[in-house]
Amino acid sequence: MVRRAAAVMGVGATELTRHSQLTAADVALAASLAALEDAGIPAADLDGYVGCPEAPNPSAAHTDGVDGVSARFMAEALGLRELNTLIDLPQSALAIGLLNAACMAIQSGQATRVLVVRAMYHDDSIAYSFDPRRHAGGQDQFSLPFGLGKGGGIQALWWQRYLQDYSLGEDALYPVIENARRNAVGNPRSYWAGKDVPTQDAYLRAPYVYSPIRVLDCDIPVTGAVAFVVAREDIAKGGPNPPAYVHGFANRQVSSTEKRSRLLGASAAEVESWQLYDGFSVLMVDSVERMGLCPSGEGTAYIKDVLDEGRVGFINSFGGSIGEGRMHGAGHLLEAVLSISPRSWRNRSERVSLAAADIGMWDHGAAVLLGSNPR
Amino acid sequence: MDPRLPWLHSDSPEVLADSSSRPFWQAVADGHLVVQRCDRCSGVYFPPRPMCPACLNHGNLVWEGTSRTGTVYSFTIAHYEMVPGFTPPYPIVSIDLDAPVGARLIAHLEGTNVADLHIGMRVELTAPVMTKGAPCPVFRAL
Repeated sequence: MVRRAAAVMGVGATELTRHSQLTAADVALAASLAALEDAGIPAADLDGYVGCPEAPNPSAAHTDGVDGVSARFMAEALGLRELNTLIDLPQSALAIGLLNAACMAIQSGQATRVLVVRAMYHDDSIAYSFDPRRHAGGQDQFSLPFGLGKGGGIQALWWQRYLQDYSLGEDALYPVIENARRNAVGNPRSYWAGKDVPTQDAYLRAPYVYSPIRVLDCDIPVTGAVAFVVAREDIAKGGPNPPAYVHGFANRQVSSTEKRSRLLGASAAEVESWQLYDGFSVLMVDSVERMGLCPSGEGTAYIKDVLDEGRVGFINSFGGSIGEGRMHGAGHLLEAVLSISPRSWRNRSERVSLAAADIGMWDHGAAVLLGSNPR
Repeated sequence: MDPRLPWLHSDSPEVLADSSSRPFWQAVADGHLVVQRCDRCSGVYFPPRPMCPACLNHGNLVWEGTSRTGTVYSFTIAHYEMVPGFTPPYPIVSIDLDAPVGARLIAHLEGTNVADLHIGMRVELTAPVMTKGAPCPVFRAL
Protein backbone atom coordinates (compact mmCIF):
# COMPACT_ATOMS: atom_id res chain seq x y z
CA MET A 1 0.00 0.00 0.00
CA VAL A 2 1.37 3.41 -0.95
CA ARG A 3 2.20 5.68 2.00
CA ARG A 4 0.09 8.79 1.68
CA ALA A 5 2.48 11.23 3.33
CA ALA A 6 3.10 14.49 1.47
CA ALA A 7 6.21 16.30 0.33
CA VAL A 8 6.96 19.56 -1.45
CA MET A 9 8.08 18.62 -4.93
CA GLY A 10 8.32 22.01 -6.60
CA VAL A 11 8.40 25.70 -5.75
CA GLY A 12 8.00 28.90 -7.71
CA ALA A 13 8.28 32.48 -6.55
CA THR A 14 8.10 35.84 -8.27
CA GLU A 15 10.07 38.93 -7.42
CA LEU A 16 8.43 41.26 -4.91
CA THR A 17 7.52 44.70 -6.20
CA ARG A 18 5.61 47.76 -5.09
CA HIS A 19 5.03 49.84 -8.18
CA SER A 20 4.83 47.31 -10.94
CA GLN A 21 1.18 47.49 -12.07
CA LEU A 22 1.08 43.70 -11.91
CA THR A 23 -2.10 42.08 -10.65
CA ALA A 24 -2.40 39.21 -8.20
CA ALA A 25 -3.29 37.03 -11.21
CA ASP A 26 -0.10 38.01 -13.03
CA VAL A 27 2.12 36.94 -10.16
CA ALA A 28 0.03 33.93 -9.10
CA LEU A 29 0.18 32.45 -12.57
CA ALA A 30 3.87 33.20 -12.98
CA ALA A 31 4.67 31.53 -9.66
CA SER A 32 2.44 28.56 -10.53
CA LEU A 33 4.09 27.96 -13.88
CA ALA A 34 7.49 28.24 -12.23
CA ALA A 35 6.50 25.72 -9.56
CA LEU A 36 5.21 23.25 -12.16
CA GLU A 37 8.42 23.58 -14.15
CA ASP A 38 10.45 23.18 -10.97
CA ALA A 39 8.49 20.05 -10.09
CA GLY A 40 8.90 18.70 -13.59
CA ILE A 41 5.18 17.98 -14.07
CA PRO A 42 2.63 19.37 -16.50
CA ALA A 43 -0.38 21.30 -15.20
CA ALA A 44 -2.62 18.50 -16.42
CA ASP A 45 -1.13 16.20 -13.78
CA LEU A 46 -2.50 18.32 -10.95
CA ASP A 47 -5.54 16.94 -9.17
CA GLY A 48 -5.72 19.55 -6.44
CA TYR A 49 -5.53 23.27 -5.88
CA VAL A 50 -5.45 25.19 -2.59
CA GLY A 51 -5.21 28.95 -2.38
CA CYS A 52 -6.41 32.11 -0.71
CA PRO A 53 -8.57 34.52 -2.70
CA GLU A 54 -8.52 37.23 -0.06
CA ALA A 55 -6.23 40.21 0.23
CA PRO A 56 -5.76 40.70 3.98
CA ASN A 57 -5.71 44.50 4.14
CA PRO A 58 -8.88 46.26 5.31
CA SER A 59 -8.75 48.64 2.34
CA ALA A 60 -8.81 45.79 -0.21
CA ALA A 61 -11.37 45.94 -3.01
CA HIS A 62 -11.53 42.13 -3.10
CA THR A 63 -11.62 41.85 -6.89
CA ASP A 64 -10.90 38.34 -8.13
CA GLY A 65 -7.86 38.35 -10.37
CA VAL A 66 -6.77 41.82 -9.31
CA ASP A 67 -5.97 41.85 -5.59
CA GLY A 68 -6.52 38.15 -5.03
CA VAL A 69 -7.10 34.95 -6.97
CA SER A 70 -9.80 32.39 -6.25
CA ALA A 71 -9.38 28.66 -6.80
CA ARG A 72 -11.92 28.86 -9.58
CA PHE A 73 -10.05 31.70 -11.27
CA MET A 74 -6.78 29.80 -11.11
CA ALA A 75 -8.30 26.52 -12.35
CA GLU A 76 -9.81 28.38 -15.32
CA ALA A 77 -6.65 30.34 -16.07
CA LEU A 78 -4.36 27.31 -15.89
CA GLY A 79 -6.81 25.11 -17.79
CA LEU A 80 -6.97 22.69 -14.89
CA ARG A 81 -9.44 19.84 -15.37
CA GLU A 82 -10.23 16.78 -13.27
CA LEU A 83 -9.31 18.51 -10.03
CA ASN A 84 -10.62 16.51 -7.08
CA THR A 85 -9.61 19.18 -4.57
CA LEU A 86 -10.38 22.86 -5.07
CA ILE A 87 -10.09 24.85 -1.86
CA ASP A 88 -10.25 28.56 -1.12
CA LEU A 89 -9.20 29.47 2.41
CA PRO A 90 -9.68 32.89 4.06
CA GLN A 91 -6.70 35.15 4.64
CA SER A 92 -6.83 34.23 8.32
CA ALA A 93 -5.62 30.75 7.39
CA LEU A 94 -2.25 32.31 6.56
CA ALA A 95 0.01 30.32 4.30
CA ILE A 96 0.31 27.46 6.79
CA GLY A 97 -3.40 26.71 6.45
CA LEU A 98 -2.96 26.33 2.70
CA LEU A 99 -0.14 23.81 3.02
CA ASN A 100 -2.07 22.01 5.75
CA ALA A 101 -5.14 21.63 3.52
CA ALA A 102 -3.05 20.33 0.63
CA CYS A 103 -1.41 17.74 2.87
CA MET A 104 -4.78 16.64 4.25
CA ALA A 105 -6.06 16.17 0.70
CA ILE A 106 -3.07 13.99 -0.11
CA GLN A 107 -3.15 12.06 3.13
CA SER A 108 -6.86 11.33 2.68
CA GLY A 109 -6.22 9.96 -0.79
CA GLN A 110 -8.36 12.68 -2.35
CA ALA A 111 -5.45 14.11 -4.35
CA THR A 112 -1.89 13.25 -5.31
CA ARG A 113 -0.44 16.47 -6.75
CA VAL A 114 -1.73 19.75 -5.30
CA LEU A 115 -0.82 23.25 -6.40
CA VAL A 116 -0.71 25.66 -3.44
CA VAL A 117 -0.60 29.37 -4.22
CA ARG A 118 -0.46 32.58 -2.20
CA ALA A 119 -0.46 35.84 -4.11
CA MET A 120 -0.17 39.19 -2.37
CA TYR A 121 -1.00 42.56 -3.90
CA HIS A 122 0.03 46.14 -3.33
CA ASP A 123 -1.63 49.08 -5.00
CA ASP A 124 -0.12 52.56 -4.98
CA SER A 125 -3.54 54.16 -5.03
CA ILE A 126 -4.78 52.87 -1.67
CA ALA A 127 -3.63 53.38 1.90
CA TYR A 128 -2.91 49.72 2.65
CA SER A 129 -3.75 49.58 6.34
CA PHE A 130 -6.57 52.15 6.36
CA ASP A 131 -9.90 50.59 7.30
CA PRO A 132 -12.53 52.58 5.39
CA ARG A 133 -15.56 50.98 7.04
CA ARG A 134 -18.08 53.46 8.36
CA HIS A 135 -19.91 50.86 10.43
CA ALA A 136 -18.57 48.69 13.21
CA GLY A 137 -20.50 45.46 13.76
CA GLY A 138 -19.73 42.22 15.52
CA GLN A 139 -16.50 42.29 17.49
CA ASP A 140 -15.45 45.49 15.69
CA GLN A 141 -18.03 47.37 17.78
CA PHE A 142 -15.53 47.38 20.62
CA SER A 143 -12.47 48.59 18.75
CA LEU A 144 -13.20 50.54 15.55
CA PRO A 145 -15.35 53.27 17.14
CA PHE A 146 -12.38 53.96 19.42
CA GLY A 147 -9.95 54.35 16.56
CA LEU A 148 -8.36 50.92 17.00
CA GLY A 149 -7.96 49.64 13.47
CA LYS A 150 -5.70 47.14 11.77
CA GLY A 151 -2.11 47.87 10.88
CA GLY A 152 -0.64 47.27 14.30
CA GLY A 153 -3.16 48.55 16.86
CA ILE A 154 -3.78 45.27 18.65
CA GLN A 155 -0.13 44.36 18.41
CA ALA A 156 0.77 47.72 19.94
CA LEU A 157 -1.52 47.17 22.93
CA TRP A 158 0.02 43.73 23.46
CA TRP A 159 3.59 44.95 23.10
CA GLN A 160 3.10 47.98 25.34
CA ARG A 161 1.94 45.62 28.10
CA TYR A 162 4.75 43.13 27.39
CA LEU A 163 7.41 45.87 27.79
CA GLN A 164 5.86 46.79 31.13
CA ASP A 165 5.44 43.23 32.40
CA TYR A 166 9.03 42.27 31.61
CA SER A 167 10.64 45.64 32.38
CA LEU A 168 12.02 46.16 28.88
CA GLY A 169 12.80 49.29 26.92
CA GLU A 170 11.83 49.81 23.32
CA ASP A 171 15.40 49.00 22.26
CA ALA A 172 14.69 45.37 23.24
CA LEU A 173 13.00 44.82 19.89
CA TYR A 174 15.96 45.93 17.80
CA PRO A 175 17.54 42.42 17.53
CA VAL A 176 14.39 41.25 15.73
CA ILE A 177 14.82 43.99 13.13
CA GLU A 178 18.56 43.41 12.93
CA ASN A 179 18.03 39.67 12.39
CA ALA A 180 15.47 40.36 9.68
CA ARG A 181 17.48 42.89 7.75
CA ARG A 182 20.80 41.05 8.05
CA ASN A 183 19.21 37.90 6.68
CA ALA A 184 17.53 39.90 3.94
CA VAL A 185 20.95 40.81 2.54
CA GLY A 186 21.44 37.25 1.23
CA ASN A 187 17.92 36.91 -0.16
CA PRO A 188 17.85 38.13 -3.75
CA ARG A 189 14.04 38.39 -3.73
CA SER A 190 13.91 40.55 -0.63
CA TYR A 191 12.44 44.00 -1.11
CA TRP A 192 15.28 45.26 1.11
CA ALA A 193 18.07 43.40 -0.72
CA GLY A 194 21.09 45.63 -1.10
CA LYS A 195 19.85 48.13 1.48
CA ASP A 196 21.80 48.86 4.66
CA VAL A 197 20.73 47.19 7.85
CA PRO A 198 19.17 49.90 10.05
CA THR A 199 21.19 50.72 13.16
CA GLN A 200 19.55 50.58 16.56
CA ASP A 201 19.61 54.36 16.57
CA ALA A 202 17.81 54.50 13.24
CA TYR A 203 15.26 51.97 14.50
CA LEU A 204 14.54 54.04 17.60
CA ARG A 205 14.11 57.14 15.44
CA ALA A 206 11.70 55.44 13.03
CA PRO A 207 8.19 56.90 13.22
CA TYR A 208 5.52 55.20 15.30
CA VAL A 209 2.48 53.67 13.64
CA TYR A 210 0.69 52.77 16.87
CA SER A 211 3.19 53.33 19.67
CA PRO A 212 5.36 51.48 20.53
CA ILE A 213 5.06 49.73 17.13
CA ARG A 214 7.15 51.59 14.55
CA VAL A 215 7.16 51.60 10.76
CA LEU A 216 10.19 49.27 10.84
CA ASP A 217 8.16 46.79 12.93
CA CYS A 218 5.68 46.33 10.07
CA ASP A 219 6.22 44.22 6.95
CA ILE A 220 6.13 46.24 3.75
CA PRO A 221 3.20 45.48 1.42
CA VAL A 222 4.33 44.08 -1.93
CA THR A 223 2.96 42.39 -5.02
CA GLY A 224 4.30 38.90 -5.42
CA ALA A 225 3.43 35.23 -5.25
CA VAL A 226 4.76 31.92 -4.05
CA ALA A 227 3.55 28.55 -5.32
CA PHE A 228 4.23 25.00 -4.21
CA VAL A 229 3.59 21.67 -5.86
CA VAL A 230 2.80 19.37 -2.96
CA ALA A 231 2.70 15.72 -3.90
CA ARG A 232 2.35 12.27 -2.44
CA GLU A 233 5.74 11.19 -1.19
CA ASP A 234 6.41 8.50 -3.78
CA ILE A 235 5.55 10.92 -6.58
CA ALA A 236 7.73 13.66 -5.11
CA LYS A 237 10.66 11.25 -4.92
CA GLY A 238 10.50 10.86 -8.70
CA GLY A 239 10.84 14.62 -9.27
CA PRO A 240 13.97 16.57 -10.20
CA ASN A 241 14.55 18.05 -6.72
CA PRO A 242 15.16 16.42 -3.36
CA PRO A 243 11.72 16.57 -1.73
CA ALA A 244 11.00 18.49 1.43
CA TYR A 245 9.01 15.87 3.32
CA VAL A 246 6.15 17.09 5.50
CA HIS A 247 6.53 15.47 8.91
CA GLY A 248 3.63 17.04 10.77
CA PHE A 249 1.58 20.06 11.78
CA ALA A 250 0.82 21.38 15.24
CA ASN A 251 -1.91 23.98 15.72
CA ARG A 252 -1.17 26.81 18.12
CA GLN A 253 -4.14 25.72 20.19
CA VAL A 254 -2.04 22.73 21.23
CA SER A 255 -0.50 23.99 24.43
CA SER A 256 1.36 20.89 25.60
CA THR A 257 5.01 20.89 24.51
CA GLU A 258 5.03 17.09 24.48
CA LYS A 259 1.94 16.92 22.28
CA ARG A 260 3.28 19.58 19.92
CA SER A 261 6.55 17.69 19.49
CA ARG A 262 4.67 14.45 18.87
CA LEU A 263 2.44 16.06 16.26
CA LEU A 264 5.32 17.79 14.50
CA GLY A 265 7.59 14.77 14.69
CA ALA A 266 10.48 16.37 16.60
CA SER A 267 11.18 18.46 19.66
CA ALA A 268 12.11 22.13 19.39
CA ALA A 269 15.71 21.23 20.28
CA GLU A 270 15.98 18.97 17.22
CA VAL A 271 14.86 21.62 14.75
CA GLU A 272 17.84 23.07 12.90
CA SER A 273 16.19 26.02 11.20
CA TRP A 274 13.15 28.12 12.16
CA GLN A 275 10.99 30.38 10.05
CA LEU A 276 8.81 32.36 12.45
CA TYR A 277 6.02 34.61 11.27
CA ASP A 278 6.81 38.28 11.72
CA GLY A 279 4.15 40.25 9.88
CA PHE A 280 4.72 42.53 12.85
CA SER A 281 8.14 42.14 14.46
CA VAL A 282 6.64 41.56 17.91
CA LEU A 283 4.91 38.38 16.73
CA MET A 284 8.31 36.73 16.36
CA VAL A 285 9.01 37.40 20.04
CA ASP A 286 5.80 35.60 20.93
CA SER A 287 6.67 32.78 18.56
CA VAL A 288 10.09 31.93 20.02
CA GLU A 289 8.47 31.72 23.45
CA ARG A 290 5.46 29.76 22.19
CA MET A 291 7.66 27.22 20.38
CA GLY A 292 9.54 26.59 23.62
CA LEU A 293 12.84 28.06 22.48
CA CYS A 294 12.97 30.27 25.57
CA PRO A 295 10.85 31.14 28.62
CA SER A 296 8.12 33.77 28.56
CA GLY A 297 9.49 37.29 28.66
CA GLU A 298 12.90 36.29 27.29
CA GLY A 299 12.08 36.29 23.58
CA THR A 300 14.01 39.44 22.69
CA ALA A 301 17.03 38.37 24.76
CA TYR A 302 16.95 34.97 23.05
CA ILE A 303 16.95 36.52 19.58
CA LYS A 304 19.81 38.81 20.61
CA ASP A 305 21.77 35.81 21.89
CA VAL A 306 21.24 34.01 18.57
CA LEU A 307 22.79 36.98 16.79
CA ASP A 308 25.59 37.42 19.32
CA GLU A 309 26.47 33.73 18.93
CA GLY A 310 26.89 34.24 15.19
CA ARG A 311 23.82 32.18 14.27
CA VAL A 312 22.15 34.83 12.16
CA GLY A 313 20.68 32.21 9.80
CA PHE A 314 19.00 30.16 12.55
CA ILE A 315 15.77 32.14 12.55
CA ASN A 316 14.16 33.63 9.44
CA SER A 317 17.17 32.99 7.24
CA PHE A 318 15.45 34.78 4.35
CA GLY A 319 14.72 37.88 6.37
CA GLY A 320 11.18 37.05 7.45
CA SER A 321 8.28 39.24 6.45
CA ILE A 322 10.07 42.22 7.98
CA GLY A 323 13.17 41.57 5.90
CA GLU A 324 11.59 40.30 2.70
CA GLY A 325 8.15 41.81 2.29
CA ARG A 326 4.56 41.04 3.19
CA MET A 327 3.80 37.51 2.01
CA HIS A 328 1.59 36.45 4.92
CA GLY A 329 3.74 33.45 5.76
CA ALA A 330 4.28 32.17 2.23
CA GLY A 331 7.87 33.40 2.31
CA HIS A 332 8.43 31.51 5.56
CA LEU A 333 7.12 28.26 4.10
CA LEU A 334 9.21 28.75 0.98
CA GLU A 335 12.38 29.26 2.99
CA ALA A 336 11.61 26.22 5.13
CA VAL A 337 11.42 24.16 1.92
CA LEU A 338 14.59 25.74 0.52
CA SER A 339 16.52 25.14 3.71
CA ILE A 340 15.89 21.41 3.12
CA SER A 341 16.20 21.51 -0.67
CA PRO A 342 17.87 24.64 -2.04
CA ARG A 343 17.49 25.88 -5.61
CA SER A 344 20.13 27.68 -7.66
CA TRP A 345 18.24 30.97 -7.42
CA ARG A 346 18.17 30.66 -3.65
CA ASN A 347 21.60 29.30 -3.20
CA ARG A 348 21.77 28.74 0.50
CA SER A 349 25.15 27.93 1.90
CA GLU A 350 23.66 25.62 4.48
CA ARG A 351 21.18 22.77 4.16
CA VAL A 352 19.39 21.28 7.13
CA SER A 353 17.63 18.00 7.82
CA LEU A 354 14.78 19.37 9.95
CA ALA A 355 13.23 22.78 9.28
CA ALA A 356 10.19 24.28 10.98
CA ALA A 357 7.89 27.13 10.05
CA ASP A 358 5.55 28.57 12.66
CA ILE A 359 3.01 30.97 11.27
CA GLY A 360 0.31 32.70 13.25
CA MET A 361 -0.64 35.36 15.71
CA TRP A 362 -0.79 34.44 19.41
CA ASP A 363 -3.06 31.43 19.78
CA HIS A 364 -4.14 31.38 16.15
CA GLY A 365 -2.01 29.58 13.57
CA ALA A 366 0.12 26.47 13.25
CA ALA A 367 3.61 25.10 12.84
CA VAL A 368 4.88 22.58 10.29
CA LEU A 369 8.01 20.45 10.36
CA LEU A 370 9.76 19.55 7.10
CA GLY A 371 12.55 17.03 6.75
CA SER A 372 15.13 15.89 4.21
CA ASN A 373 13.95 12.32 4.82
CA PRO A 374 10.48 10.89 5.18
CA ARG A 375 9.12 10.87 8.75
CA MET B 1 -17.64 67.27 17.83
CA ASP B 2 -16.90 66.82 21.52
CA PRO B 3 -14.28 69.24 22.82
CA ARG B 4 -13.02 66.60 25.24
CA LEU B 5 -11.87 64.44 22.33
CA PRO B 6 -10.61 66.87 19.68
CA TRP B 7 -9.23 64.05 17.48
CA LEU B 8 -12.68 62.47 17.04
CA HIS B 9 -14.94 63.61 14.23
CA SER B 10 -18.51 62.98 13.19
CA ASP B 11 -17.59 60.49 10.46
CA SER B 12 -16.04 57.95 12.85
CA PRO B 13 -17.34 54.36 12.49
CA GLU B 14 -20.90 53.91 13.73
CA VAL B 15 -21.65 51.17 16.20
CA LEU B 16 -23.96 48.51 14.74
CA ALA B 17 -25.49 47.09 17.92
CA ASP B 18 -26.92 43.57 17.85
CA SER B 19 -28.88 41.33 20.18
CA SER B 20 -25.71 40.39 22.08
CA SER B 21 -24.41 43.93 22.51
CA ARG B 22 -27.51 46.10 22.79
CA PRO B 23 -27.64 45.97 26.61
CA PHE B 24 -24.05 47.22 26.77
CA TRP B 25 -24.68 50.20 24.49
CA GLN B 26 -27.92 51.02 26.32
CA ALA B 27 -26.03 51.07 29.60
CA VAL B 28 -23.39 53.39 28.12
CA ALA B 29 -26.14 55.74 26.97
CA ASP B 30 -27.57 55.64 30.52
CA GLY B 31 -24.20 56.62 31.92
CA HIS B 32 -22.88 53.32 33.30
CA LEU B 33 -21.25 50.06 32.16
CA VAL B 34 -22.33 46.43 32.20
CA VAL B 35 -20.54 43.19 31.38
CA GLN B 36 -21.74 39.61 31.13
CA ARG B 37 -21.53 37.04 33.87
CA CYS B 38 -22.32 33.36 33.45
CA ASP B 39 -25.06 32.51 35.89
CA ARG B 40 -23.73 28.94 36.20
CA CYS B 41 -19.96 29.28 36.65
CA SER B 42 -19.68 33.02 37.35
CA GLY B 43 -17.25 33.67 34.51
CA VAL B 44 -17.06 37.36 33.55
CA TYR B 45 -16.97 38.28 29.88
CA PHE B 46 -16.47 41.34 27.75
CA PRO B 47 -16.90 41.84 24.78
CA PRO B 48 -20.29 40.13 24.85
CA ARG B 49 -20.57 36.48 23.92
CA PRO B 50 -23.49 34.26 22.96
CA MET B 51 -22.45 31.58 25.44
CA CYS B 52 -19.98 30.80 28.20
CA PRO B 53 -16.88 29.07 26.75
CA ALA B 54 -15.97 27.62 30.15
CA CYS B 55 -19.19 25.72 30.98
CA LEU B 56 -21.08 25.97 27.66
CA ASN B 57 -23.97 27.84 29.27
CA HIS B 58 -25.87 29.03 26.23
CA GLY B 59 -28.31 31.90 26.49
CA ASN B 60 -27.95 32.50 30.22
CA LEU B 61 -25.22 35.09 30.44
CA VAL B 62 -26.61 37.90 32.60
CA TRP B 63 -25.63 41.53 32.49
CA GLU B 64 -24.03 42.91 35.61
CA GLY B 65 -23.17 46.49 36.51
CA THR B 66 -19.51 47.38 36.89
CA SER B 67 -17.53 49.84 38.94
CA ARG B 68 -16.98 53.28 37.44
CA THR B 69 -13.27 53.14 38.17
CA GLY B 70 -10.45 51.12 36.78
CA THR B 71 -6.80 50.94 35.81
CA VAL B 72 -5.14 51.35 32.44
CA TYR B 73 -4.06 47.81 31.41
CA SER B 74 -2.43 49.00 28.21
CA PHE B 75 -2.51 51.87 25.78
CA THR B 76 -1.25 53.04 22.44
CA ILE B 77 -1.02 56.34 20.64
CA ALA B 78 -2.16 56.14 17.03
CA HIS B 79 0.09 58.17 14.75
CA TYR B 80 -1.40 57.32 11.36
CA GLU B 81 -4.88 57.64 9.92
CA MET B 82 -6.11 54.06 10.12
CA VAL B 83 -9.82 54.61 10.77
CA PRO B 84 -12.20 57.30 9.40
CA GLY B 85 -13.02 60.18 11.69
CA PHE B 86 -9.86 60.10 13.78
CA THR B 87 -7.08 62.65 13.37
CA PRO B 88 -3.80 61.36 14.80
CA PRO B 89 -2.20 61.48 17.23
CA TYR B 90 -4.79 60.13 19.62
CA PRO B 91 -4.80 57.71 22.55
CA ILE B 92 -6.48 54.31 22.75
CA VAL B 93 -6.74 52.73 26.19
CA SER B 94 -7.54 49.25 27.40
CA ILE B 95 -8.96 49.49 30.90
CA ASP B 96 -9.32 46.87 33.62
CA LEU B 97 -12.40 47.81 35.61
CA ASP B 98 -12.10 47.46 39.39
CA ALA B 99 -15.17 45.25 39.47
CA PRO B 100 -16.04 42.69 38.44
CA VAL B 101 -12.54 41.26 38.04
CA GLY B 102 -11.98 40.25 34.46
CA ALA B 103 -13.91 43.12 32.91
CA ARG B 104 -11.61 44.84 30.41
CA LEU B 105 -12.61 47.16 27.61
CA ILE B 106 -11.28 49.60 25.03
CA ALA B 107 -12.48 53.13 25.64
CA HIS B 108 -11.85 56.78 24.89
CA LEU B 109 -9.64 58.78 27.23
CA GLU B 110 -10.10 62.49 27.73
CA GLY B 111 -7.90 65.15 29.18
CA THR B 112 -4.55 63.34 29.57
CA ASN B 113 -1.38 64.42 27.86
CA VAL B 114 0.00 61.47 25.94
CA ALA B 115 3.31 61.91 27.74
CA ASP B 116 1.52 61.27 31.06
CA LEU B 117 -0.37 58.19 29.89
CA HIS B 118 0.94 55.04 31.55
CA ILE B 119 0.00 51.49 32.44
CA GLY B 120 -1.45 51.43 35.94
CA MET B 121 -2.96 54.89 35.67
CA ARG B 122 -6.20 55.13 37.63
CA VAL B 123 -9.22 56.24 35.63
CA GLU B 124 -12.93 56.82 36.09
CA LEU B 125 -15.91 56.74 33.77
CA THR B 126 -17.16 60.11 32.68
CA ALA B 127 -19.93 61.22 30.35
CA PRO B 128 -20.12 59.19 27.13
CA VAL B 129 -19.29 60.82 23.82
CA MET B 130 -22.31 61.11 21.54
CA THR B 131 -21.47 59.59 18.16
CA LYS B 132 -23.70 58.80 15.19
CA GLY B 133 -24.16 55.13 16.08
CA ALA B 134 -24.19 54.95 19.84
CA PRO B 135 -22.78 56.89 22.78
CA CYS B 136 -19.30 55.54 23.50
CA PRO B 137 -17.63 55.24 26.93
CA VAL B 138 -15.09 57.86 27.92
CA PHE B 139 -12.73 57.74 30.88
CA ARG B 140 -10.53 60.36 32.50
CA ALA B 141 -7.60 60.18 34.88
CA LEU B 142 -8.52 60.06 38.54
